[in-house]
Amino acid sequence: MEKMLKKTSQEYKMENIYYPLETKVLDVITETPTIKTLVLKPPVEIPFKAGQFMQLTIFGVGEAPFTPSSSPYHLETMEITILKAGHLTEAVHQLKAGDNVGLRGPFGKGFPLEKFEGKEILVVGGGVGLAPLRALLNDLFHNLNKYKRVSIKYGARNPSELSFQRQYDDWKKLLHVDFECTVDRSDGKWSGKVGLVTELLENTGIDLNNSYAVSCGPEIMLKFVTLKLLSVGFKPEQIYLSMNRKMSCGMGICGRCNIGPYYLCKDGPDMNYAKIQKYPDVFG
Amino acid sequence: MYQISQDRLVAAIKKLNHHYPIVLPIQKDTEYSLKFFGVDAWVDNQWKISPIRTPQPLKSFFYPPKQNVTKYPQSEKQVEKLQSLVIIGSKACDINALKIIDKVYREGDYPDPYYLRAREKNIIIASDCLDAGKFCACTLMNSLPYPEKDFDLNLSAADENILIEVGSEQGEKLLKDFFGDIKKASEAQLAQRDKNRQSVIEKLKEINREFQYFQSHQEAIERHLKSKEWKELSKTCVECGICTQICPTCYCFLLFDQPSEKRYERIKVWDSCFFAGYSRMAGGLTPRLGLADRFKHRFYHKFDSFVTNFGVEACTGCGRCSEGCMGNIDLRKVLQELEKKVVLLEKIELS
Repeated sequence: MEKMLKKTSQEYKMENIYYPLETKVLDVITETPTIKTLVLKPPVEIPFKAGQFMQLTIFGVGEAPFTPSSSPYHLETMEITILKAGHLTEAVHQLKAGDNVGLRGPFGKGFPLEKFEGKEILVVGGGVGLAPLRALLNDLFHNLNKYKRVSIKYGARNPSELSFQRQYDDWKKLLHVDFECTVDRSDGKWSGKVGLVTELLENTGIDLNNSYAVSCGPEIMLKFVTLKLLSVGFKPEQIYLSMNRKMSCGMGICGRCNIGPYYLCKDGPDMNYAKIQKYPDVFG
Repeated sequence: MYQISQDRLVAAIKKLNHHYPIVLPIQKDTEYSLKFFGVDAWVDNQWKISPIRTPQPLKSFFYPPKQNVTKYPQSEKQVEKLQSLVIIGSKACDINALKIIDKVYREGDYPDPYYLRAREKNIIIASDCLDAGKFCACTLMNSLPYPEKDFDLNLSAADENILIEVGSEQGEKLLKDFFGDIKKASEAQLAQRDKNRQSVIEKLKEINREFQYFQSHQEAIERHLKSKEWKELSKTCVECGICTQICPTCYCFLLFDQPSEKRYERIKVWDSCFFAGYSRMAGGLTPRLGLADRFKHRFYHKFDSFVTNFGVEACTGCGRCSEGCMGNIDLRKVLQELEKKVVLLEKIELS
């Protein structure tokens, strides 16, 4: 055991690419009635870039890809935020502090942060799609002086489904950072905006010549966010979409996540829209 | 180049079988099929080189249809425990297919440890095709009915003897250890082998006479990315997925976890892009929802995106997909139809 722990996470990964690293659940945070955040304590630090994803194993149930929602600068623990949507995530939501899960990864390329330097970054999230974006936000906030502006637009179905509510005020306080959210349907108590997240993209005041837009959410939302961004003047090259489709291997082999010649797991999951726009299966 | 009599070849294989499990084509009625024999389990004194490839692809012995890739707790021996096989009688289309799969499983960023092990350990004794099947199309896919490299030994037919070509150091050693004292092949035998090979090539050309391609398959498919043509082409497909299972170059898989006594085990199983559930996500979204979309995806992957990513087509013309298809979909015809329609499209654009 002692000897094993001396290996880096990369060495573990290359030894048997299918074998997950056993990892303890430190805490489970309930974000919304359908979204939970796992706080994990990997046995060795797993360095990752914002946007790269992990394969999470629930032993005996299965494995699925999730992007960490915590900061790439904070590696003692890793947070993964998960919506209850199917067989495996059902089991994720049963987890308690002290349980063990498995981690494989990280996989993918992550966001091209070097390209974002000196630019205004428009971050558009939908529902649990804010989770992968939170890793990006954590990275951007860590080096905030490198970026001109970070503008966050977030939408959820209803007020109870807004994730990370505990952090909005902190985000708003940061210099050159603005945050706005909306819900599709109000619950009566909600005093904020009601409408689709695309409505927040009308008058952003973003400098179209010096900016990138990044979005993550359900594919139907990605489609309409992309159309809206194009209609307000963004060029396809300026749009990055975090496309988190079904993946099994995570390394560009097993075949199900491809768009055109690209494998979302290997070449993404954060794809430049200009690269994928010509393919008919770009939005499912 | 060496020569050996039929009887002594069989004796050499038996000797090999004292040390290794072997895999070789066995004739039953008019069909040949690939069979596995444990050490000392093979008894066939009449064994002969099969005329063409077997229905089963060679890939099964490098990445099996179902393989346990992770046990709990992990044992470093899991990979090393894989036994070496001697695979006899493999044809060029299958060997070329392994070279294609190598690009993904062996030369990629994340080599598959089990595949690597099998590639290193398995011994390939290849053989020339002595005939051509109705669906054989290697010559259409820039290949030949006999292997030129990437084997340990290759068997060819010449007069009543078998010629043996050495293709690797391992092959050289195998020859020394198991084949005994053997003679060099004569000029006449070599000439006979070449004549046999040429006659199979001629036969293949005759079989595929009606199929002619004037542009690259990649160009033709690029023009059909959004075309409605796929619906027509896939109309008799019953989504059985056999074309992907018996294809020697199809390599897609699914990792499947199941509980075990100790905790869990992870199984890697062959998957097929023809199945609707293949890319279906939690929540129900399926990026390639229609059969025509999935049908297109298979051709797109083999003849377009694989070329973009690796510089070669993922097809060796073995013809298994066309032969096995219950809907009588012939790959050669599909490619030809696509090209014909491109010519039509261009004519319309010109006018």
